[in-house]
Amino acid sequence: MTAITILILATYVVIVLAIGFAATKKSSDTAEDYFVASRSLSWFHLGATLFATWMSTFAFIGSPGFYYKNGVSWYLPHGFLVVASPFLLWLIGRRIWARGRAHGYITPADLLADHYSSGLTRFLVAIVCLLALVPYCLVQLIGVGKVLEAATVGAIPYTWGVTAAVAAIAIYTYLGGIRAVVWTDAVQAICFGLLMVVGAAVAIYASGGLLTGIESAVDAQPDSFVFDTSKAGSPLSLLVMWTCGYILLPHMWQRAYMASSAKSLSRSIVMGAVLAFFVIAIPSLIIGCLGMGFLPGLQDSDAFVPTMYVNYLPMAVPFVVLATFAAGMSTVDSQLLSASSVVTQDLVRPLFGDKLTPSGARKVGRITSTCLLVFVMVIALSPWGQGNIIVLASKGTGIALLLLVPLLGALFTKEGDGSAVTASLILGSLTLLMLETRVLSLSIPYGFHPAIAAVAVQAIVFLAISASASPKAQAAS
Amino acid sequence: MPSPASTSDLQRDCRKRRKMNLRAVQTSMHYGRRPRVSCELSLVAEATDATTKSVFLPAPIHFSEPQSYVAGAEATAWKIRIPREIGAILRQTQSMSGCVRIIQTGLGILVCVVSFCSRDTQTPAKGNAMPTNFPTRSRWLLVAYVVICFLTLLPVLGIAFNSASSVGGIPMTVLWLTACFAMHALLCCVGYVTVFRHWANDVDSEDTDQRSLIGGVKK
Repeated sequence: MTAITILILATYVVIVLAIGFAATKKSSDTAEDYFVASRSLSWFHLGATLFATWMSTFAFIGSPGFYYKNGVSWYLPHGFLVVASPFLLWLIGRRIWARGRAHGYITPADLLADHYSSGLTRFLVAIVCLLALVPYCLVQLIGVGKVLEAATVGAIPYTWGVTAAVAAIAIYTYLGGIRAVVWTDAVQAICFGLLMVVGAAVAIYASGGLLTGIESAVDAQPDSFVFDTSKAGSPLSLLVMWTCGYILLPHMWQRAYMASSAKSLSRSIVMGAVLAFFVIAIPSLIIGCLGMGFLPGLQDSDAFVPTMYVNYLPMAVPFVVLATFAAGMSTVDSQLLSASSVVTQDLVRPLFGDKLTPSGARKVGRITSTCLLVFVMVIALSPWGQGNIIVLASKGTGIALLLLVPLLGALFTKEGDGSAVTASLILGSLTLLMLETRVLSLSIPYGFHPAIAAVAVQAIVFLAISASASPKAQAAS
Repeated sequence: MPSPASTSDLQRDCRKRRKMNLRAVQTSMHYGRRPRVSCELSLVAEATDATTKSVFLPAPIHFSEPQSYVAGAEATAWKIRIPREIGAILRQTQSMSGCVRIIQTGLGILVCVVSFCSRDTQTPAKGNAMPTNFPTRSRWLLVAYVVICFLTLLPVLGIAFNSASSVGGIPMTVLWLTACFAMHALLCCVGYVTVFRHWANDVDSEDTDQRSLIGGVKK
């Protein structure tokens, strides 16, 4: 079985590399093409890349496992993020798209720094973007490593799995840029979408039917099917963080720049919502919840999906590994390119200005993505870097949430003030850092996440400084 | 709670009030009007029976059900009926608190919806290159989104549908959330047909016009 798994994986990697190589022939030597595909994606490619990038190993492995562990309290944020977040693309994303198209933006900091006319804002937003990408990138590698280990019953150790994934991702991202990523995303989305549906069928089969399975799951863990309203803050925080993460995580934000036309953007919204509901939300729920009944007592919830396949459909195990690989790769490659674009455009270009040629920018981008990949791999292989997929990924979305107030300020208010957004970013980041590291031992009521408290601080600071600055600005003008 | 020493005074007061109320009912019936009987619950409950549970409410409650009082205009019927009414009201209040909260919040949302949708179109924010303002259809779509979001949150807020009891074999919480998520997906489809598509066509045709004006040079 291990040999078959390795063979299938090798074939898949070769196909993906071939696609990446083909994509290089279509690419032109500009930063805009390398990072945002010259804003030329059709609705199908945009929808597929949005779906594949957002629905990573967290959706395929982490999410059913989290259902298995926490029950319905994860259904609210998970279902909401997959179904309601595409709508955010309509409310917020189309504005980002329109501005990006009009002004040629590539990174999130381009939009915010331009709106607030502040170089410091650019720097701070770039740092927040890089920090937000690291945990989310990390969980993809962890997911691939864990699944390979569990599916092959230890024949392929965690370390090898992570290293193989890193090697494959590095090569085709280095070759083709975002165009290669988008093309492979379409293949990868089909791959793990199919496996999600098959997974739900396996869970139903294993539990002796849908209703019987639900009944035994409710009997086994009745508390998992009711919300604990005294801790309502926890699912609500996850809901806000993950739903907003759809737009605020830098690699997702940049996808809003990539649409070739308004029609592409609109169609991709519908495609994302419908596909996510039927392929992700419902199958995840079925797999995780039924698992409480037919496979109780697993300690590592992330190992639930591969264990289910090993026990009930062993012949599909190689495809599970393949799908996890696909899910992880389709997200990590986008994040690497996003990180490299942030470093190139927001940190290096302001220093060198016009001296940075397009080929030089691409070179900086490639070096950055390779360095980041190695850095994340080191964390993934170290014992202190490992953890539950959903918990780690939530840290990334929590950091990305710091961009919410500046973004809403830029898109929906008439006043733009660089000092307000700078102060709000600094104070919000400090609040989040102190609460996460427990330097500030403040118990937030109802179990709300520190990121929500940080955003509240940001909003207050932003509004207060904007309000005090507005009369002065008016008087000056 | 009134002191035991004042019980006889209370009983006397209650008897007096009862007579007045009965007279009011009879007078109203005589003139064909809808009678209105009022009494202070604390006094009545105390006066009916020493073992009856005393119920204290901050203000007098007014009953407007003439038949129940007139049909048995006896004082004994009064004594039994009123504590039962109070219990029923209290039980209803407890079980219906969720519904009351839903109605209150729903009314609040309705007011916001009406005021939001009846406003004139907004001007675009500073630097927003979008050629759209905020047309009525978009507003309704946004409002529908907010309403569905609120409905989705009912179980987690403990307002309603937070139960593992089975409805058609599926736990109520799961069923409710699934229905809400299906509505979200449906809303996206409806939004595409009613709003997104028209907006996209407008923007794309403007873009094509601009390109043709500058000689087909791609930006």
